Amino acid sequence: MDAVLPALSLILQPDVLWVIALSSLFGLFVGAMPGLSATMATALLVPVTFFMEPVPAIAAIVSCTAMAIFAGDIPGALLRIPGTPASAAYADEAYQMTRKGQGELALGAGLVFSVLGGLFGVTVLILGAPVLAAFALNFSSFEYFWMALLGLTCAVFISPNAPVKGVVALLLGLLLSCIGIGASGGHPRFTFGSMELTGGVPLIPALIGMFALPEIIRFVLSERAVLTIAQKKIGNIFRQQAELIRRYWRGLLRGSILGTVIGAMPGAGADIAAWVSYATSKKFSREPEKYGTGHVEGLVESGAANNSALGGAWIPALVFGIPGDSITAIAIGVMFMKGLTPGPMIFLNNPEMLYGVFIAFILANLLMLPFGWAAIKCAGQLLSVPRPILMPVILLFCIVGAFASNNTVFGVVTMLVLGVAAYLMEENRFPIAPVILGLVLGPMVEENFINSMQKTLGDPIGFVSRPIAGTLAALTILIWFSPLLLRLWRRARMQPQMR
Amino acid sequence: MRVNDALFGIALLALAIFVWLHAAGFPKVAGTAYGPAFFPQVLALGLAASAALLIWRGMKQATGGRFLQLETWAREPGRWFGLLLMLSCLVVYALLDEILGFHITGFAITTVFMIYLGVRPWLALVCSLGTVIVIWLLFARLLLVPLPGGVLTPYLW
Repeated sequence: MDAVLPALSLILQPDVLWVIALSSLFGLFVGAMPGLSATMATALLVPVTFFMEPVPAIAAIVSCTAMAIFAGDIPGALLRIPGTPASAAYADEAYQMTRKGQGELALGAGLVFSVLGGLFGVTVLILGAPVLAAFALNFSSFEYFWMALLGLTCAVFISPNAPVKGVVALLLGLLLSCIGIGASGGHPRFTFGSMELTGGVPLIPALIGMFALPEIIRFVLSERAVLTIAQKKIGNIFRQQAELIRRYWRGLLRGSILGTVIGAMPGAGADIAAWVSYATSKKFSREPEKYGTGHVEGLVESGAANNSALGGAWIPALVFGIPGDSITAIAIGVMFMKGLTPGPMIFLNNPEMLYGVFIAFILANLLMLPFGWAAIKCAGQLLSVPRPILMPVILLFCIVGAFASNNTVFGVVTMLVLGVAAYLMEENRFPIAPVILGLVLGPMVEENFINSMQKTLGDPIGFVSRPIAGTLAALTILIWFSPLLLRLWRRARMQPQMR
Repeated sequence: MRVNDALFGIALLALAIFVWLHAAGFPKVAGTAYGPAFFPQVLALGLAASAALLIWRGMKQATGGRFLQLETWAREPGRWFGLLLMLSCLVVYALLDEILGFHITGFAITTVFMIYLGVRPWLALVCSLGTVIVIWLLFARLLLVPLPGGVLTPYLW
């Protein structure tokens, strides 16, 4: 706790506060724009954070994403189009409320419960991460190998698509991580004589390419319908919110807990948290028949869940260096670029930085109330920003961002190639998050495997002989075979019925 | 554009074979089997297995022999043109950035893209100019990214 004061002095600098305020506004804007996701906001922010100190860089990402996830609710309620995938679960419900004349209630609930859920996620992060980190200090290369593998495994199996497509995406990401001189002991791999590839696939252009370019391509190919806003003038959004907290405190708590847990699982982020919470809310509700007709209860629970997932996702990211979602995968990439290796050592060596991140998180969630209120008030103007102007601007921003990482056009080419590939993959239901996880975690898996093998002189038994390593191994392998076991179990259950 | 899983599988299988063979040429590390080739070859094996599964899935799905499914947009030539135009903007930027510089290339591609998307030409010109100036100030002046000045270098402050 001695680090809290130095951390406060790191955050409460005028320039850091400016960074937080500006990235919050940026996050609100991008999140509120249909078709632009929170992950895209983060990817576009990375080239700018590249030039900052570590604490403002991470604070920028944290505040931008928190705002973007909330702001996704605004077009959901007013246009029936979720601003980010995290609001998709309840966009229709919120829109139905607006149609019934309850726009203020829907938008207010989105804001208030996002703040409460976000603060819950941060609290769990602050209390849980140091405890886990103390435990993780006992880890050696064997445990880290399994942790990385477990993280990658979860990423594949949690994705809503067919697991085999998740596996393919992951393997492609891991293959990309092999390019260049990396963990391979000085031998350049897959560089084909290119000097630029010896440094590996540059992360920033890869991120921009995979998360921003597909959105622009989709916009070019989509029908450009005129958007009609369901309610132009927004009244007092805070009325009745206290009543909602009193009535649905159980849902708020359930959504926040579920969101944090789902966020902490590698590969699952705010969007999955919102879907699961919405379904859970309906299941436990006393009035499930009202769901889908413009009922606020589901909004309360899943609105809290998607923001608490953000805090949850940082737990494995900070403690083990394993990202909980694609946003933290980007953040881990940024930390590496800043010379910080996420993991338990950071709790010993850079506690002030860590508490700086925590404080930034709390600050971002508190700032969300006034900023979010202002965004809702200006929703009419915000949503009428013409996208035919916005998209080319974003494209140029992408180009410059990709260029800025190495100051060469190579970055732009990388962005183009990976962007088109990501678009084709997404169109064919291959998830993109595992590619990024593979790209970021690939060197960790390979290095820890080779180091472990050198320690045991090539004897693989070392990977399972230590108790924690053995448990992690069993867990990982169990998840690998879970689809097969589930299928066998179902068949066994079916057979007695058939007889 | 939806491609049948089997076609994806075949492409991935080809990639897996290529990776395996290419990695086989990496130097061996004396005394251990785990040299630079080990990890890529394990990945290639995984990729080949997944590819086989995709081919099998794809063959099951492909009833009536349809391997390529085009969305509604793909039947409109205008959309293809838009996609091609956007991607060419990026290629043109990559090719001309060093010669013409960020300002001219950036301004040109943003204007063209905006006009294609239906923005009125004068508005597109004004917005593109504004964008180029803002990005220049942010990246080149504030963050000190050496965006190439190209032919305009002598006139930039």
